[in-house]
Amino acid sequence: MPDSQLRVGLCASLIPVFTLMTASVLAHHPILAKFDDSQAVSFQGRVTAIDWSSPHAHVYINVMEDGEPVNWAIELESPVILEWSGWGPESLSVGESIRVSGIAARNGSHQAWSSAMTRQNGSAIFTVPDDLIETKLANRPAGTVPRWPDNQPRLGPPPGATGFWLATAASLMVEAGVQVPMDAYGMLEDIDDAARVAPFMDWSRELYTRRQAAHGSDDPLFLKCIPPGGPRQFQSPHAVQFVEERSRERIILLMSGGNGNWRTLYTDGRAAVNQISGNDDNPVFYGRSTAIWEGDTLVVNTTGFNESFWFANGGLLHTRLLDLTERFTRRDLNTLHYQVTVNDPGAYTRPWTSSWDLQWVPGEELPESYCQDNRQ
Amino acid sequence: MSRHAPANTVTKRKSSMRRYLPRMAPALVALLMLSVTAPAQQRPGLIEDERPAPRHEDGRINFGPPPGEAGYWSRRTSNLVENPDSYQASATRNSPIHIDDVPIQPWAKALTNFRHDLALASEPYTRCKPAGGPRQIMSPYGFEIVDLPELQRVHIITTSNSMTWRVIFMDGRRHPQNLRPSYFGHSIGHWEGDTLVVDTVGFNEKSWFSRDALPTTSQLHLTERYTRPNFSTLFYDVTIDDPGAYDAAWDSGFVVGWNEGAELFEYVCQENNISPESMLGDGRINDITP
Repeated sequence: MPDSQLRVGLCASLIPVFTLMTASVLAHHPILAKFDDSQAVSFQGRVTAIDWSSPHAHVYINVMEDGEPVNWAIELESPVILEWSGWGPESLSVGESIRVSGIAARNGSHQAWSSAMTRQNGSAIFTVPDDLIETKLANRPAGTVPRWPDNQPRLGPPPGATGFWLATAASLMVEAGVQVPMDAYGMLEDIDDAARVAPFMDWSRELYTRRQAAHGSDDPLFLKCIPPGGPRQFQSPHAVQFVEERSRERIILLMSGGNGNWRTLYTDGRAAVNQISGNDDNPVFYGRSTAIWEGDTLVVNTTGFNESFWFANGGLLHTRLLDLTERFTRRDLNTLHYQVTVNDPGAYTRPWTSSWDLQWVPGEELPESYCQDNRQ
Repeated sequence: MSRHAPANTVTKRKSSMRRYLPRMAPALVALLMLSVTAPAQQRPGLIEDERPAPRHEDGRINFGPPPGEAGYWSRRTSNLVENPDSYQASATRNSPIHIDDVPIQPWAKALTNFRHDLALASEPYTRCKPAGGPRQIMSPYGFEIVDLPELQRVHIITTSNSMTWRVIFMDGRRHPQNLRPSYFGHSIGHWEGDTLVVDTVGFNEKSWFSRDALPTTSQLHLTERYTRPNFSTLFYDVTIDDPGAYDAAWDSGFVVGWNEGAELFEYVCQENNISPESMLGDGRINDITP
């Protein structure tokens, strides 16, 4: 049978599959920003290349259209997520014939998001279990909070061990006490709920609503790999590692989401101004952070943010007046409670608070992953 | 060591020492005045400083500032290889090894020349990509070597190079089998006296490992040596062993200086990166060039 493309338009049978996929906790950004769920497509073609790059892996296939091969870029989950699911670039070979069903890019280019990919023999490939994260976290040994000799909690691994913190589907930025249904990317199920998410001003509510209506398609992280400053760095499925350099009175926060940046939390009692070669005229993506311990909680205060990034999934916004207080409390070996208080009189009518838990992944290194990887 | 470049490939060229002599003179004078005799210090590029390198309580070299102080490293010399065919040949003049002495395979030399013909416009670094090996620390914006003996690892964090970090395992582990190629590879380190020796394999081929535009392959095996001969100087020495691009292992390195009292700052390459457009012309940002 010759390789063929079937453009099936709005294909009812594909919609349930797709809905399931958006419920997944895993993707970096709403795929609807780039792909149109009303443009279901299916292909059969030969693999010409496999690009195992962040933020999303791609399989390139030649699809025959009117007797001519047309090369399509089929987008998959991130390499980290695929590897956690047991796949690698070696799982598929160039030259193999595969079938793909998914949705086409909004811009009409030869790109599609894969919701199902199968080999010639019908076996599925590059599948990601819905319960991947739950399974990954299921059999962790329990334990108490690891502590330094002076009894202060450790935010990193116990001595001689390794691990990192990841965010789960529950890592949603919503004002405490408010119940608003949204998916794992912070996209509202009902856009009429927008005003309830946070104490917006009129302009910030309108902009937030517009970003939601556009499925986050103008997200700077998505478009240009702009860093996830503020709470967003704690919303990545493979999030952070704390490097507590006590001799230097600082904590270096290593990130795996975004571009694998780092940021410094100074615990040396300095004032928040004029550090990191910055001042109020030089606002930055990660802000300028000082931290103190209040009992077992690390309290981090950050100011000096610029306005060039989204500080949370789903398009919540901030201004350079943002004064952020983040409280990190390790409740046991495996749980880090994150509470963030947003004080931004430029965008919100009053300070508000949100919180979620980060989960410890024992025995693994923070993955090497760069958003910029497959961008030329 | 059998893959090392034979000595005659160096001696048939003009003497490295002779090339160095004019530049070395001030440093030599300074050394004589200080009566410094340790072998690591008898080399060009030593930054004059009477203070010894700081040490931790257990005696090992501290690559950071003494307690309560600040500082970071940034390069003073900038290329691994002297290359008359470089688009900036004069900037390479004081490099430790001449391109003719590098056992580079013909295809790799041709690709190097091609990249220089483009004035390095195709360098992945200008696309905000991370880069491993020497390229990670070749930026003037600086880096820190964060030594965490309790965690048995060293992190190198950089301001530029997409403001990212790398891990060096110091716990005696070996490189794993079946490494998936990555930007920074897999690094294991150990101390040889006062020198931190880092062995790295498992690089991908997506970035350039130095500002010299020299290609490497996924067979690249780097041995890096970090030495702090005095308070203000870091010698970075590197052995490049890559049978995919070079017929033998070869050595190079550069000098890094201490920026006393300064702290690394935020640098986000993506913030206003218009380099690809300006280097390649409108609409060519997505062109892939080797």
